[in-house]
Amino acid sequence: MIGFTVLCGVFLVATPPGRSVAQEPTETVVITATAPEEMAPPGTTVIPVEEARRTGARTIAEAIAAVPGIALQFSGSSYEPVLLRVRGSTSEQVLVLRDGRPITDSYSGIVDLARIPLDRVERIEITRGPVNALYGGGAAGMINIITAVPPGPDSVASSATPWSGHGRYSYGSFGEHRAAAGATFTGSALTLGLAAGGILAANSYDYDRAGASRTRENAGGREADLSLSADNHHRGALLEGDAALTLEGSRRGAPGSIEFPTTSAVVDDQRLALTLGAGIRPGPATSLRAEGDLQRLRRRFDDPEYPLGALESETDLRTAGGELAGTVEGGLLEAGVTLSGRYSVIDDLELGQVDRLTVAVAPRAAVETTTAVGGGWRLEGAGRIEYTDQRVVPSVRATLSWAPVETLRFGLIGATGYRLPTFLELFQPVGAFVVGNPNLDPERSASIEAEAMVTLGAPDRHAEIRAAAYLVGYEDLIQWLAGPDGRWSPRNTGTARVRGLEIESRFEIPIRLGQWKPRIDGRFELVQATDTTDGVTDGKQLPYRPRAAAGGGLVLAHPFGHSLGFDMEYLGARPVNAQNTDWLAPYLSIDASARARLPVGGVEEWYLFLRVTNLVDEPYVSTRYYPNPGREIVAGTEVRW
Amino acid sequence: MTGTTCRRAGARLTGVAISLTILIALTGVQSSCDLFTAPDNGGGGRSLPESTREILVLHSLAETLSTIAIEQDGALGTVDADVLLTGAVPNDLVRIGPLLALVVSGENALLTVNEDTLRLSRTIDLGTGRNPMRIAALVDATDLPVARWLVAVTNLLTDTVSIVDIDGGTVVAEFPVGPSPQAVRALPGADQSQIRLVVSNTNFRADRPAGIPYGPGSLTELVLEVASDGAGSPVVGLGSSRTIELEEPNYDDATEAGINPGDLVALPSAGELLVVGSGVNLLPGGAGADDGTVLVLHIDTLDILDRVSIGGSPARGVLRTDATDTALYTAGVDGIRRLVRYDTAGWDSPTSTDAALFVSAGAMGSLFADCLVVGERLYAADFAGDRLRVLHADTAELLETTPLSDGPIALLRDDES
Repeated sequence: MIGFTVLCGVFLVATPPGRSVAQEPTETVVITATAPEEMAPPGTTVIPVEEARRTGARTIAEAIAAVPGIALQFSGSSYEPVLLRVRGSTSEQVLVLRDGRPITDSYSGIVDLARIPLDRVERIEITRGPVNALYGGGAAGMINIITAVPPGPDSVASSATPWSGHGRYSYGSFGEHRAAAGATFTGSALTLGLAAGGILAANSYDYDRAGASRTRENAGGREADLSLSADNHHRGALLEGDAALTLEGSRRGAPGSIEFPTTSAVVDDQRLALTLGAGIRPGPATSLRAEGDLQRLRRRFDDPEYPLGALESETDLRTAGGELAGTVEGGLLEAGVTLSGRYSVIDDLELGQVDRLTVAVAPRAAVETTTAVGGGWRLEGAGRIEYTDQRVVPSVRATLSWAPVETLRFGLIGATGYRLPTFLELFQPVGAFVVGNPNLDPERSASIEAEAMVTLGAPDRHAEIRAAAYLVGYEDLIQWLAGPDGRWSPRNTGTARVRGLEIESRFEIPIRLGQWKPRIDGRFELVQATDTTDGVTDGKQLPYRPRAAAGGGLVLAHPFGHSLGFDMEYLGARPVNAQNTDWLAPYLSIDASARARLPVGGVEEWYLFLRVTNLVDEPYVSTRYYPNPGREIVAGTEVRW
Repeated sequence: MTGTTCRRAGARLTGVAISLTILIALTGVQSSCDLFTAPDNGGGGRSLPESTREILVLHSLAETLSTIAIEQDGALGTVDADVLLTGAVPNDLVRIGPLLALVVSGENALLTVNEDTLRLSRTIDLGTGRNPMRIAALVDATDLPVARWLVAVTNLLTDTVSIVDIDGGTVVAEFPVGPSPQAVRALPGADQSQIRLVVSNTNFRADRPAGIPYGPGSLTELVLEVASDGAGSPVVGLGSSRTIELEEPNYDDATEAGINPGDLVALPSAGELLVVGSGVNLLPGGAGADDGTVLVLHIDTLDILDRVSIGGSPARGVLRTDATDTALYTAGVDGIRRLVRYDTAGWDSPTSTDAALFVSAGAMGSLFADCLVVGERLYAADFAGDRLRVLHADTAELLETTPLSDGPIALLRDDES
């Protein structure tokens, strides 16, 4: 066993990736930056989680489901795993970060966003297109989950107590309980936080489909997490520091599909993450920040009743990373560089011990001007040269943003990226049907995107329209192909091209229903995700990518905190195989939500909420053999003080 | 430019942008209505008239059935591609009476298809979690005491074989066999009410040592008693069952791969049943043991008469018989091998040139999934290359190649059942 290895770099960088967009939350929804008067950078959507909570969303998956360019592939109830795609990508091509640090692991390359609760999350940043130059991963895009920043001493000073906290409980269809609670102490020198959460989902549930009653077995689980944090932010101190320790444990069933249920398969996860950060601001225009993190994921899979013999696997993945970043601002120019290193080592019952060292240097620069009418232009360029797996892999990302006036902005983005093969793809041991390929190269991507965004009614921005057109090319895609020995193994044989158009809009309707303010959202996207690999699948739509999707919603918001919402999503047909001979039917899903704030003294906010997904009980299928089990109702309460 | 002028310009630009956005949105919606629905891929039966001679091709990855017309001289004619949608992972097909029966592993289903139209006539549910693999038509139904078409299907994950009444669309019986059954062959029984069913058990075990997941291999022989229930429906009972071990006496289960019997080939004229076993498959690049084996069994007693090591890790085999000799062509990891049975001398030694590689898979390492012989032509389905190769059955000369849909896994000749 190899113990933890800590790599801490010493570099200069801009603000850490987790702080890439402004910090303060906003009451407005998608497409906004944190301050109402500020737009998110081109190619990026920022979701204030408070807005998602209004609709009863409990997980990251539920919070981002309606964002154009994001496609979620469900495998049953909302507790069951969800696959994420960005603009026709694979799940492995999307990087998932928490506060700028990757939680996508080197083992499988997939993060299940249905597993990540919204508690303690302030906002979610979504960037489409390759982001390797910024984050070191994400050939197709990234999801950055930004942890809520505790209230600062100034706000606490006006309060009677230095303590603040939250509590939340919900109960939903298919026997799902979720609870979370947390408390923060804000002292004069330090802020301390403690939070815990848990989920208990029934192990089997009944549902009706095609006129028949069915039972889904082994689909539940229990999960718990505990988090401790400390920082001295908000002090304006020369030296800032923060530390966080997170412990997570879960035991979940792995039910398999309807055709091949696995009623005794269980996945046990234990995860520990320790992050440390320190920053220094010698002057208003310069900063230096060092970060380090240690993560350990132990996963055990057991299926003692697998028909072809008991299956078991045990994986112990340990990762240590560090980076040093600094930035200098002067006049119109801002520049920085990040030096980073990350070391992952895996101990696996099958794979044995495998490790990966990645070191990178990532410079970036930005030039910005403003005009008297609030417009201006900004040119940002970032590059990254990474050494990993005995290869040097470069990536770049350039963004040109031009705003002729404050309310109109055009963006042009060009980027290249890559996806490193996962440990499974590289080292999967020889089995009856599969074998890994240690000679795999990274998948490569390149994209160009044009975006236009209009906001009206400044400063409140009563209307927003965003339109984007993009083209992404992929090469060396890793495909599992049958080898001459009959075993399937990954090879860099695929190429693909994704072209798309996204339009989204949001209007506050200038009518008043008493004190209620109505708002409508609309979204529409076309995705031509084409397999361009030589052979019989050339020119076909990539599996599970819809060619078109549309949606919209209506929200009624009351200034006291009540809200009512409806949202609908119409997803076009999706092929289930590479040759596109079989397609899943298009479907319409309608969700509804309601939230009421209770006028209870002694607490800052107390809400009751109700969320109904698939309101009309549409019998749709998102993943073949994993049908949606029907209408889901979740009711709960949330309190903050 | 003053601030006021800029604001006016900005307002105009904003108006233009909004108009353009709405125009683009409307255009997109208008032009994309068809994009929400699945395209028409055919799959509704033949689009071309049925050919006098044809080969049916089952595509495991495209999940379809195609036909290829065969000219009088054996040359390939028109391909009628993807005429039938099968569902996930079709693996085998057989002709029985006027119908085709297709095993669809990913759906746990058996499809019956009208061969004239190649339209689906019925889907028969074999039961959750079975993973059906291979199929055999029971001997001609007119020989049985019940006028029904029956097939046997091996179920990989439940270690059973299902007997299916094609006419009635029901599973009439399910019998236990050995572990991880694959190939199945029906043979006549002692009288008209009996059928002998021979099933090859690969004994795949996930918890065996890496790289040697099979073994020990065996056969199960079932003697089925077929009767009528009085209303014309078949009643199939189990007369007897026995297991025939296929490994050599010194076989070590802990360190060796089993024979992995993937195919059964009957040669009634010689009184033989051939078991084609891959052993442990060659690894990419050719590393690993190369222990493909053909076992020659007495067709009645199932005693092992000969054990011919041919290499190439074959998965399937097909016979070609001429006036004097018989050749077994095996499709395996490195190509197609040929083993000759001389009428007077029995099966050839594997060390002779006849048993050597007949057709190399080539540098691309194609995987031959199935092959069949018509006259002097050998038709080989190239699973990885998505094509059908036509070879001269004596000289191995490549005569023709035609592209096929994704993952051709099984071939059926128009006069073959």
